[in-house]
Amino acid sequence: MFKTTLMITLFLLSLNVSAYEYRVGIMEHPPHAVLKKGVPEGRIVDYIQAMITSKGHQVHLFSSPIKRALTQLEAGNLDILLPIEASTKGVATFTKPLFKLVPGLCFKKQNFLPFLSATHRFKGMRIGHTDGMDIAKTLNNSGAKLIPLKGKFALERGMKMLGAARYDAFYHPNPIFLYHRNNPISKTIACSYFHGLSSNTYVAVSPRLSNKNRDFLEGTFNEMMEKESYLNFFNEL
Amino acid sequence: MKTLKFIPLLFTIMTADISWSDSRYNYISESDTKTKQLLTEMSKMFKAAQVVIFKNLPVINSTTSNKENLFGDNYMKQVETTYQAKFKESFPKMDHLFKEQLVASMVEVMDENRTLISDTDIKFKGLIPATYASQLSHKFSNLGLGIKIKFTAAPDLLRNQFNAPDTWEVETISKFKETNWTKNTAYFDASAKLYGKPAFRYMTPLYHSNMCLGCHGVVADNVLNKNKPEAEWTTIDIAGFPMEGQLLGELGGGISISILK
Repeated sequence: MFKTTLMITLFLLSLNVSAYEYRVGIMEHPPHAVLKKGVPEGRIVDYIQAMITSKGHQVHLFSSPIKRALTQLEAGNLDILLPIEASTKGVATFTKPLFKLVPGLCFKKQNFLPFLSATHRFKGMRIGHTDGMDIAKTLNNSGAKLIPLKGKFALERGMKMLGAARYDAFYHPNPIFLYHRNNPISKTIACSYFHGLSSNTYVAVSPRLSNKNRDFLEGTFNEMMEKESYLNFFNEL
Repeated sequence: MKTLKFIPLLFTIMTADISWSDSRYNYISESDTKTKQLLTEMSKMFKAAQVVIFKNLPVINSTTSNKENLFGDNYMKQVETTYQAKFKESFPKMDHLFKEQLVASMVEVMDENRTLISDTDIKFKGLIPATYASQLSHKFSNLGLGIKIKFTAAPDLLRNQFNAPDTWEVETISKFKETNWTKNTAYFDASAKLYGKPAFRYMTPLYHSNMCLGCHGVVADNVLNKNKPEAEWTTIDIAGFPMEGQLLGELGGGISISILK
């Protein structure tokens, strides 16, 4: 009995010794990751934690503005940083994207337009968008009346104004995470996408992370994505 | 065991640039014949997936049906069966990363449309063979593997500007239109260029079948005109475009695949 207990204890101790605490930087990216009193929360946090802890390792979360976070990643003070947009230069990332960004238009369901390539149908439409946002070229040339919405929480306010028929459509930078079955707003609105304008978001990796840890993280990430993509995980709220 | 085969490839692309055109994954061609075979298989897989969408249009647009056959392994089983029936040959072996990633992209596109497909308020979802093909092309081409698929057409028939053909594609479509071109024959170019870089390029012509004519055909084909008196017929199709008046078997466009060397 003593021998068995000793063996189990030694086995558990050995597990503890090999456990690693990964330093994970989280960029604020609503609705995936938000800061609550400086602490990152959201489905991305849940996903990455589930991924790492499932292998017996630990996660230490950090959050800071993008420039500082990238410096920390470069210096090896962070092991990984996410989500990082495809346009971010000079960072190594996992090969597989975490999720895709595809801009689109949201409509009240009774006015839903499934084909955004039919741009002539936008003529005369009132299309709201958050001020300062890059609007798809295709909209600029469509004859639609583009209405910028200024101030805080413009996306949320825009969707409310769409619901109140103040707009015929509202431009959203990534409606796939708005129009999903677990979001109550999807009972009244539906969105279509500019697929030709898609870009990906990635998990960035520190150049100072050892090959062993990097391979482990990327392998675990690929395994997790194969089992359940982040998109599906997000939608299971 | 299957995964093991891809370890060297995955290792090579581990640091792949996210922009496909600057991919650091180097495709190694054993021979032009092998490359052509790979591209032919991928092109057929692409077509089979489109046919599955067409066959499932009633289910996709239904507001009551069970839709589980449209996702994951169930969906891929349909693609495999359709491939076998359409091309009278087995579904290709997953012996190359490109084929594996194409299959993964097919499933992911369906997943991304899940909310729309499951929406019980919208009767016409807009997920048709052409839009599926367009979405699949963009998704696959954005993987950073140095391979690009485009579902395209001649400029006068093009509806979605994001699928516009480049010079090589316009010239290839012109070849397909020549009277001495053997119908259904793809064009393979082992010494082509893409954005100034050497590339393998392949294009397979697409001829209008019944699944295309509801939008691209003549006024009598318009699905919006079904069960309506002729006086009420419209030449604007369900997508909001004027119908092109094309006929069964006419050239509609092509599937273009390019691999950087």
